[in-house]
Amino acid sequence: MSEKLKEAVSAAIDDEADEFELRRVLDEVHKDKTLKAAWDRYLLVGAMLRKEHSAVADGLRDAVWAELEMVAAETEPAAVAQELANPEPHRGGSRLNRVTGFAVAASVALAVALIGVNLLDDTAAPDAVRVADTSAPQTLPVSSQARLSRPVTDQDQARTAALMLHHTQQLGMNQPGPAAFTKLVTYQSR
Amino acid sequence: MIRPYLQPLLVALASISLSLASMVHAATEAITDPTQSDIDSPRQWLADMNSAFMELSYDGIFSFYGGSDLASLRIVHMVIDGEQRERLMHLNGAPREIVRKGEDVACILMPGDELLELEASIPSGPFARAFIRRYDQISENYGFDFFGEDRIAGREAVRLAVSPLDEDRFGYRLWLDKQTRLLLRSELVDTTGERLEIFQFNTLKLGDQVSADALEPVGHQGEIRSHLELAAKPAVAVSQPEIRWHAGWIPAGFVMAAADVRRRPDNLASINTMMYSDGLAAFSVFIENMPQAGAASMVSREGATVAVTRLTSGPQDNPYLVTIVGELPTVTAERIAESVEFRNQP
Repeated sequence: MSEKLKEAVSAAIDDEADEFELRRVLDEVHKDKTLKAAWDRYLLVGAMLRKEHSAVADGLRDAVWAELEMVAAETEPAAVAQELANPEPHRGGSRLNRVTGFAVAASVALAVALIGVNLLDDTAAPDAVRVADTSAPQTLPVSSQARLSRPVTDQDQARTAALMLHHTQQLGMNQPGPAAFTKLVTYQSR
Repeated sequence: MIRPYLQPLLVALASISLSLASMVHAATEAITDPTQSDIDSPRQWLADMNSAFMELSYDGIFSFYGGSDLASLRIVHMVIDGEQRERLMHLNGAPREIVRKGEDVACILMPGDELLELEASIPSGPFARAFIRRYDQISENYGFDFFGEDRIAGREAVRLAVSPLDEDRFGYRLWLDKQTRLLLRSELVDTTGERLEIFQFNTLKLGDQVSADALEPVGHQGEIRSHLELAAKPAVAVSQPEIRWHAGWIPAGFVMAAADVRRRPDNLASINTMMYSDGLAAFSVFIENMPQAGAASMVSREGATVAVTRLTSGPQDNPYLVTIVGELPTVTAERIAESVEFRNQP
């Protein structure tokens, strides 16, 4: 990636990029696998250097929300404005449920996959959103109250791809017609 | 202001468009009139489509758009001595084929194909016979409407819209062959009307025009075959009390079609799988132990298929991974994932 973009990514992670720049960086990162990996590394390095996990995550969170806001503004401006004006965590049903249509959900999904911050979890208050370390799974504080996540790795992607194909195979084995195995045969990793 | 001399013209135009509208209306009525015999009901058309898939001989080239790319494939289907025979070929890129002979399904790939590596990590074992998608057994959560006629692959087609009655599933637009009721084109549309998948025949041979020779795979040097098996007996192990994982919420109209415990070929870790279907859409629930290296909560989508992974806790509060994979809106898949829990009592 270009030095300029590196700087931009770095600035975005340090929460120093303006909104336009951030938008551009997010777009670039979406397009490129190596950029995504770089993003993850920058995130971790930044966090370790400053030992301010939650601060870093907050910056990212704002970045994601900024993007979300832009996408959402094109779909349901009123609902989005209302949601953004009331950012307190909701219990039960998803905040996204009410904010968004499919486009926004997909955008958040991308952002979450990208950054590894579990925004989809409404029970996570800002100070609970942090970058999970990579220590043994037994020490991960996993409970219904605090579901922490870590950046998405190649293993995560591979596991998901395998389960998607498994589903497709099971469907194909039990479905009549030409479409049955089409998704299996046309599979390609992105 | 309308000038007086224009008025007769406008009236004439209006009456033309009115009569056109009533003609169209009459044409639609002729198809959808509920007093007509059942043979022309949408459900009967779908049941006939289901039979056509399984009973007819067909050989055609079709296009498939699955959310990111457009593919060309060829399908050959015949019934020989009461046995389903089928061959599906990807016409682009590295050769890939599926050959089906009754219960035996083989996937033919070339060395180095990325599918091989992926297949090696797919939970192993035979697939349950579950009739997940049967077009003659569609739940009550869809509405059906004919919407005119069209021509696909040079054949006359009737258009049928299958619309979800809630926001927890996608809709379908189907183009059915007037003569044989075979599916000629289909579109899978999301809740906003966006098309996520398109399937369409470009050429189609039927009946006597289809040759059994076309069922034989063309050998490629160095090709690799992997076999998929259907479970020998129907998998109605569904109500087994030992299934302790439970989806607290599933969308209306979905019923469990199969449940199984499978193993990952690489490390033999067990995965609980449950599959649900509403006759058209299907989703799988996968539950597995947290891998040693940990895992991330994530959402990914490929065309109509979404995968949602979240972390949860199981027996003795151990960490587990729940993954929902299916042709569902993202929020619906997330809601299902949220509801999956372990029950200490069966």
